[in-house]
Amino acid sequence: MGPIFGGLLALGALGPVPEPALAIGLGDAPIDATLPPKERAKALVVLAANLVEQAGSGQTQATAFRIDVAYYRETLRDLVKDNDQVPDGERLSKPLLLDMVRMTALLQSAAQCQTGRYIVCPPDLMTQLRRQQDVLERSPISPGGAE
Amino acid sequence: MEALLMTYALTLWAITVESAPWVVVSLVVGGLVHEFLPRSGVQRLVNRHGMAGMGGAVALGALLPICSCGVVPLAISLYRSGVRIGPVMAFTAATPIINPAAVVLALGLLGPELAAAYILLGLTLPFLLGLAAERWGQASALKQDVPIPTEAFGPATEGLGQRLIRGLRWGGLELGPMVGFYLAIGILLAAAVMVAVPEAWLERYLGGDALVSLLVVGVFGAAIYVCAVAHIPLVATLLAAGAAPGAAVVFLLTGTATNLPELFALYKTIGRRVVVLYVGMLVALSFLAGLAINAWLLPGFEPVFDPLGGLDALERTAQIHPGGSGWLTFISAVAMLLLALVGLWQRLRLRFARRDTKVDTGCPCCQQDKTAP
Repeated sequence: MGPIFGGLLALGALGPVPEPALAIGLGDAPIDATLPPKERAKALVVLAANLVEQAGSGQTQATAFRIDVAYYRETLRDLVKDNDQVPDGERLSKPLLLDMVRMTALLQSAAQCQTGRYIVCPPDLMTQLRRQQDVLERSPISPGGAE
Repeated sequence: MEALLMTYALTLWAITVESAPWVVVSLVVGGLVHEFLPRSGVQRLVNRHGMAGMGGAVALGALLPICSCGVVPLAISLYRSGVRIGPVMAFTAATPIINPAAVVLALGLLGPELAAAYILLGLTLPFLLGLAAERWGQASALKQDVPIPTEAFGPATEGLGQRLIRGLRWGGLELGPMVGFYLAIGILLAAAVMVAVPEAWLERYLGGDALVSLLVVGVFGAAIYVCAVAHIPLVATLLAAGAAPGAAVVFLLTGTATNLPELFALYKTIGRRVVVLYVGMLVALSFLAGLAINAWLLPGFEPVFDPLGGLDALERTAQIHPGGSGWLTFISAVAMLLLALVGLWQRLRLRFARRDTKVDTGCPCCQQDKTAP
């Protein structure tokens, strides 16, 4: 875990954080860890879509983007752990979790594409990020999904 | 047309910034290798005949996180410092195919069977390529700089500082413009191939288990620029979308091992026959490996992995392979561009100098005039 994100987590442990933990101002507050897994997964799908959009903009600050990708990854890790402890009916499916991990991997690849201060992704990675975003948005838990 | 040019420029830039930092590092290390290796005992170790030398070259390559463009200066430097062509080509293949971050990521995202196949092939393929280059390529390879045996040097009389400066000067001023020029031409070609090929080609051909799919993936993979750490997530998502496991491994092997910039630079500096042998064997062996993997895992292959294991792998990869600082990347890219321009200028100057020489001495009528009483 990077030192910046570690610092953010440490700040979070001290009590309620007045500012959003997300660094690039996506307009979302940190995802509430007390929500049921499905709600948290929905919030993560929205966050992933925002990150994909930021990656494709060519104007996202690299440091902030990396912090947010690390936030996405760690929130997903908590979700995967908590998912085992809920009743079967409320549990997220394993294929969905794997798709979310794959999205994390692609976002992490995007976070490496730094030119100057900004994230500039190659076209093939952007194509794959958008396809993976479609996969997540078509999943049953998504707001416009197949549920 | 405008969109096409924009995509071309973006692809060109993406390849340049991804490879430039490693090219610069490799030039510095290559310069030091050229200065210090011929007089050191390490050369005898690397140059050992048989399996030990080849195994050492593969192991060294597997530990370095350098991409297929970045490895070129180091490979040329090793070769020009007197290392045999076999270990040089084994090192050249192993370095970009496999490295610690790629292994962690493959284990986390590709599923156990495919990760095992990728790692095993990532170690054995360079070994076989090295053996083939040694057996059939040595005689035709271009000449090396240092034919003098180690014993002939005797005790060094120069200070360490002088030797460091000479090594860095060789890396930056002799090797740099030459490699920069060839890599630049290769990058221009590779970006053109990547833009010209339809965007969905990878998805289309990775999805098939037919022989044609494996061959197309192998050949195109060898031409375009693929970085193992950046492309394993991409391959993982394509596998989930139904890509054939054999084709995925072929893409990872040929894609990471070579690309047009690397091949063009090696072709010009090490020799045509070695490069043709290297690419031919790489594509052929990867193709056979892809067939074997498809026969083993199809039908019914599902790339299942442990989600927590995958996230752990991603976290570890971010630590091992944190990504360069943006400004360093930018400065390296500018340095590489300048080296390419210096290389171009040197070539043009040489060409004009030759033409002038031809006018002065090569023209029989002029010579007759000069020698006439």
